Amino acid sequence: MNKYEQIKILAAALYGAARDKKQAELEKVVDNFGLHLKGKKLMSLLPEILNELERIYFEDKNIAAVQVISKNKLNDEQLAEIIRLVQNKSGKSARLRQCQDDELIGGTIVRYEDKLLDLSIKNQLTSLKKQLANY
Amino acid sequence: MSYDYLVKSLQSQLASWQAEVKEETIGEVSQVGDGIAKVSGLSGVMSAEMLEFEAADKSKIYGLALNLEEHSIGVVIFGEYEKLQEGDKVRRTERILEVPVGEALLGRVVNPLGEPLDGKGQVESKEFYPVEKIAPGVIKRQSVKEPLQTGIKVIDSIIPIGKGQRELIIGDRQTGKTALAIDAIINQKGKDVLCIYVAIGQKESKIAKIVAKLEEHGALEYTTVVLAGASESATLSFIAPYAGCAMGEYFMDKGRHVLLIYDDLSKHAIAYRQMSLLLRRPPGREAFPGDVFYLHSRLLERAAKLSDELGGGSLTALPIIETQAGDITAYIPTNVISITDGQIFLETDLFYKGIRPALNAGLSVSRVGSAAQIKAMKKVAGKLKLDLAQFRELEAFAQFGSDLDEATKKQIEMGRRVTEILKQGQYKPIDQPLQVAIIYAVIQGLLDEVAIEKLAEFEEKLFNKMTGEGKDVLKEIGQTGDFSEKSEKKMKKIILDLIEMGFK
Repeated sequence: MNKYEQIKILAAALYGAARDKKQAELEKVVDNFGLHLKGKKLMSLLPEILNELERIYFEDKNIAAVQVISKNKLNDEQLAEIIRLVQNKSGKSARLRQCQDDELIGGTIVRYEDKLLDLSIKNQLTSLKKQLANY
Repeated sequence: MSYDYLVKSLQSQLASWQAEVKEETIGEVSQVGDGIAKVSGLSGVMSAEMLEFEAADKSKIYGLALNLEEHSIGVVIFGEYEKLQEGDKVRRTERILEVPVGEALLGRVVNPLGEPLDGKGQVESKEFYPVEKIAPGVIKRQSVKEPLQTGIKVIDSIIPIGKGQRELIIGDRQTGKTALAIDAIINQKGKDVLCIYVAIGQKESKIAKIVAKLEEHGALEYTTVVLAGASESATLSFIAPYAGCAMGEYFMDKGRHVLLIYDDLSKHAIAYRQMSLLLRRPPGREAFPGDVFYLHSRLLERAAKLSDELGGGSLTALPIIETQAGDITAYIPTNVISITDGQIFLETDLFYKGIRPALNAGLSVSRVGSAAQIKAMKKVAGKLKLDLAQFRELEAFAQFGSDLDEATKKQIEMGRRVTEILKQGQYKPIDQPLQVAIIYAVIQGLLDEVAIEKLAEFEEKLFNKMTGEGKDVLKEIGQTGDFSEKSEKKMKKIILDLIEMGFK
């Protein structure tokens, strides 16, 4: 079994076990999972397992994970706009995550699932450069 | 250029520019190595779609989506896969792989993506053809009936090739397979046949030599060389014959005749095997994947003679296969033999005996046969085949010399003369009418008195004399494809005169 398959299986197992569990039970499941990883010397896979766990959770609950990249922090109104946009396009509820990138100059980049909406000034300048260079 | 003009043109450019916002589908490289990448994301990608990788240094690298699996896509990469890293972005292009086609490619050396390799600047081509295309069906075709003249005596007489045919050239290394193909290209000069030479996994030094030779003989102007060198990735070798075929199909669709040479398909199969194994497709016989037959059959099926309604263009394919120690029963040789309309079998033994082209007349066949021969050639070549066949049977007895009866001796002598006449030097294609003349001479028994060692000299003198004295005979054969009784008499007289002049 390769690393990727192992991560997938562990994440799916954890999600299956922890699903619909309440506080005390949930803590026990997580503890056991931690002990299992420790026993099998799989602790190093933990970050990737958590990523995979999130992916499974979003898929199960029909949520689109949205990454918003911009130069400055966006205000709530702008974020609500983006959420509406993604919900209309994908038909899923959206969960936002903000990132900042100084290289963008301005505007935003919206990523969800395997889609990319590049609304940054940087991208527009690149396409302008392309057009001017063609002549 | 004035300042105002600059500002104005910039303004007009800017006015026409619109910020375009497009939703793109992107994926991520999850694994990369050996020219293969696994990509996650990219929902809705097509099979055999071109994908665009963005490497860490912002350069663009292209790939071809081959394996569509549940959670990932197997992509083969064209070019420098070493630059790619895990996590690099992959974009869809929503295009099936295409290559530039058209007149601009003639006289050029290009790679399988149509990019120039000869330093003569960009290929100025407006039209593109998809690399993979379904072969024309029954309705679109007609039977192969026009001869494609290779200029090689033994081929044009015994195993004629027609326009639209697929004739395999098979043999061990160093038996003159490529030489035969190059001679065929050189002979197309002035015959309105365009040539495409596809080199798959070949040494670049060999290609440089071939290109120089083609240039020397003025053959490069109607030839395109598609080169996937030995040092380049297996992916390029894999698409090279399909790309070359697409370039040929363009001319065929325009009603022209094309000669395509795939040199060689054994290396193509090996490149495909490498890709398939890296993509984890299950191996079969000789570790080739299960669809290696289809790999070649779909390629060679694209050779065709189109119907007159479609312009009557043709695409003739001469695939080359290299065998190991004369073993034509290996997997790839048997496959390609069964796909093609015949094969030209070259042998090491014959080559070292000095019979060049080293063609084994027994194992070589052309399934199209005399439909692809001019009448004059049919007249003289019918007996030639018979003589050669009988000679082969009797050859073993030849060493008993004096114990043989008169008839057998005569047969053997005849066979030797025919074999001698069919020898031919490299880069020396011979026009059909001249071929008819020399074969006529030997078949009619006119050369029985001439010593075998002198036949080569005789042939040269005869060609000189025919182009001088027998000009109208050659013209008649060239134009009508046949010779009248009067011409036959004249031809005979020229031959006999020449023998009298010192070949007795």
